Amino acid sequence: MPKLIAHHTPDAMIAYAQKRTLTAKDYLRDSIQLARLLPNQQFLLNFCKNRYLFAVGMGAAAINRQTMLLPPTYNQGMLFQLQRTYPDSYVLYDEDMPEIAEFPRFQLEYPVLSGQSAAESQNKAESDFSVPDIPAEHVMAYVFTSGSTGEPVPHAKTWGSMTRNAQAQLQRIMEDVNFRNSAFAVLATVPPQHMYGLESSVLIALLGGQALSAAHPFFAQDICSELEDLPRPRVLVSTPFHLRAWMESGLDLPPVDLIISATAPLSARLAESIEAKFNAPVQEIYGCTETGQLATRLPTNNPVWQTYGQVEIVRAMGSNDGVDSSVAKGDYIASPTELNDVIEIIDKSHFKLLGRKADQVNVAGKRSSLSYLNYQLNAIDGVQDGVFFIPETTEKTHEKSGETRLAAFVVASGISKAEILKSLRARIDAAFMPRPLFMVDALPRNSTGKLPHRLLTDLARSLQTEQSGSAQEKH
Amino acid sequence: MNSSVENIHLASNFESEIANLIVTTLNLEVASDQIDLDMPLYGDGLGLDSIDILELALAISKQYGFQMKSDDPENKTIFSSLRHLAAHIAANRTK
Repeated sequence: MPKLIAHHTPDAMIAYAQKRTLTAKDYLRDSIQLARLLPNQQFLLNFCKNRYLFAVGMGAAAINRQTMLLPPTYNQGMLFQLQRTYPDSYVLYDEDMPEIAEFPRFQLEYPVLSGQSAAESQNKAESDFSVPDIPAEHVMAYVFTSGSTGEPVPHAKTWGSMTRNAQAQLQRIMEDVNFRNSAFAVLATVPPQHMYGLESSVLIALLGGQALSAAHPFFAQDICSELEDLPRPRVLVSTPFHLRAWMESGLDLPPVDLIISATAPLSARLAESIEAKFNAPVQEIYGCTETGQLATRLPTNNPVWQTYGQVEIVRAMGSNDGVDSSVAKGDYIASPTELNDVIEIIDKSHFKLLGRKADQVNVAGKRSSLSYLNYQLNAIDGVQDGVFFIPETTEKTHEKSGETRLAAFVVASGISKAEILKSLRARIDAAFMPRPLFMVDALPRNSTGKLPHRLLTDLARSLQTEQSGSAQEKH
Repeated sequence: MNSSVENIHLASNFESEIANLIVTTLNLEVASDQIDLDMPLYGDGLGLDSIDILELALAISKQYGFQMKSDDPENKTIFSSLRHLAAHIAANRTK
């Protein structure tokens, strides 16, 4: 049966939190103690920002055989839906309590234990380092994708699959960089509540026998000071968006021994400049919420992706939409899953990524689909017709002017633009808010009722010219 | 129209400069003189999100020579409005 953690000795490092080091023994003591205190609902929303507290919450929930709910976004609309579908839930949090009144809540503070109870459990733990077993089939988390009909779609992650996933990731890291058998410390700029952050910071530490930084750095300066607090070898887990801002900050960047990037393609130029700066490899991970991480590559070395462990990427059978589809299966993937990207298969464990399917959107590494966003837009009272639109960009414009945002066209009556934006903000992640939102009299539907991208591009262009013209008149 | 004319009078030169930086850095569709001094920069005000804040912090570090930090207890105030952001930059700039 898989264990709660992979660390073999009680004194193995498991976390660095606010300049304190925490060992496997500390983690077990905290998780076991917390397990006795947690509410006994079946599900929990783990809002902890401190990554160590998140990991303790997850460990305690595993011991209690509870399941974490990890939605793609935490706005009111999403939380309301979860509340309705999973009423038997509670909220675990450390700092800011999200506004969901109906769920019971439990606040976790750092350090988790203090005073006598800490000393007592310390004594007990020292004499006895027994790591709890967690059944492989225990569903540790439902990770949600937004779906296309407004209902979030759950993807079950079992303890067994998480364990296998972490082992495969650890093996690949060891193949790609020589850490001379020392355990490494991970700092992540991505939150543990999303699949990539969960796998590459929390799971790699707990189930790969490594250590995590409790921090969630945001600004470039934060990344530097948190890195400085970690022993080497150090691994930075981040996204192209954060890495670009960090590299351009002009700061004196501390040494890093491996840089991992995921959520969006990393430009070759950025990957090369990172490797030159740190004399350390950049590893890119490819995956999705449905399957978790699937493959890696060293982008400056080879554009080809290699799958983890026994994971296979194969051509989809019976796909009827005329678009080539690929399916990931095997190893820790519960059931064959169709991928949302256009993939050139080389063999079952190697492939090239050619782009994403037309319906998919990616803003600063956050993913959604146009069909989901369009559903949410059209569900607003007063919106008669509306459509989201991905403006055309190139890598060059992207690097120069930052993230490309979506645009939207709306036909509405009895509702203002500001009111539409407000309703939309409660329904979708802020990253996908349309910028700009064009109010129009009609959408340029063709004779079959479709909205060709070319017609929308033309409309956007003419409306933008009109707008900048009228803005100039004001001066 | 009237309110934007009023804002020109209310905003100092430096505040206008920061408004301009916000609009050009983030490719916003509003004109910089239409950003009200006390309008919230997040959410239902100007509509900025965390992606914007990181872009903006980068632009500020390049132009004014200082870095934003998460552990600054003033962060909530700093990004609450153009007035506060401009005051923070004015107080911390090194160039």
